[in-house]
Amino acid sequence: MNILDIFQGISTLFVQEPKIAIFRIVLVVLGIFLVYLGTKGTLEPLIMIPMGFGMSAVNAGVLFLTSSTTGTIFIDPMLSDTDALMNILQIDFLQPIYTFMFSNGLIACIVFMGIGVITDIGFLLRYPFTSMLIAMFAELGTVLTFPIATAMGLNYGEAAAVSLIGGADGPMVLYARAAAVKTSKFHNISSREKLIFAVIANTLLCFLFPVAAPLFLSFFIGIAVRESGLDKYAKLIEHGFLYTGTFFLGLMLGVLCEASTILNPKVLTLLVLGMLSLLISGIGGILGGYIVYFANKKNFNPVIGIAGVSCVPTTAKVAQKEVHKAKSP
Amino acid sequence: MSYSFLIPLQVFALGFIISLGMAVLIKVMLFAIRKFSNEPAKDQNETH
Repeated sequence: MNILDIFQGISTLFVQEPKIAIFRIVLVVLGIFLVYLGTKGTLEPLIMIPMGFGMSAVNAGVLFLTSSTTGTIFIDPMLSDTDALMNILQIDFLQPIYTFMFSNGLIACIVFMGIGVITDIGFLLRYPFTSMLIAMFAELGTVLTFPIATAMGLNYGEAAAVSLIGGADGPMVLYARAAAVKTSKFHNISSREKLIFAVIANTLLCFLFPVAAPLFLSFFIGIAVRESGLDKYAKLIEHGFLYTGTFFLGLMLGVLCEASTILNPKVLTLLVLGMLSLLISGIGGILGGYIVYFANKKNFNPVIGIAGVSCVPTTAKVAQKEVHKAKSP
Repeated sequence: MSYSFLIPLQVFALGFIISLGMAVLIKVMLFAIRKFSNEPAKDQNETH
């Protein structure tokens, strides 16, 4: 008996293709590095710590599923056959989370409820045209990535899906000098006005785009809970739902970064296009911020522009942190 | 112009019109609330 067969995480390295084995080591190290960056605060710790742990564990914890195939008992994201799925649900420990929360969008809705509870829409209501303009500029990545994606061989549906990543979350760093610009104060919008807006916007948007109705409901119900003063529900959603959802989201993202999945040429293409989309959207957001800055005779902080990129507030958080650092003595 | 450029531009234009409509709706809504309300514009959180 080969002693290495006891330590299958190591013996599988010698059985797999060299590039997969090497990439497994790279991802293990990257996962540990993400945990380090998360604990230092350089990247968002709420996502990076579970993601880093997941990434290093899934790439280290590869075993022989049969005498000739290797895999993990974390998750099988590509499985669609019902019988096989029922079997795997009882074996892979994160499969129930993936199947019943990730792939059907439930985890996104839970996170959106939490975002609604912690979001103050006062700025949007006070400056709706500015907010919409910045949001449109922050979609630049979506517009420009689509033709690039189709040129790289993706069909229209795949290209649209990967381009939309440009409107999603991503940590961005701004030039500190943008933080030094003064901002004008704005008048408070009352909780009653925010609540009425939440009700009207939710109903209207569900009428217009029923395919996204679960997300609209989740976000606006969070806002309604916040602005109604329902503190107990607000605490439940923020501390319970949001942080549970965020934790499992980070963990799932890490566990999905298995070497053999990422080295799939199609997946690699999607990763590169997703990053490109976010990058262009970030640039678009900054451009939008500067356009409003000059249009308002320098009475606007262009740092706000990059916050338009996010559908979850991480870029806004990064922007706020950089502004605080730039303004601190 | 290539079709793959036209599609995102059309979607972007639609998004722009809808965003503009939402912005106008917000302004109209705030105007209507303040006109028909006697309460001043401040936070009114009550704990439940």
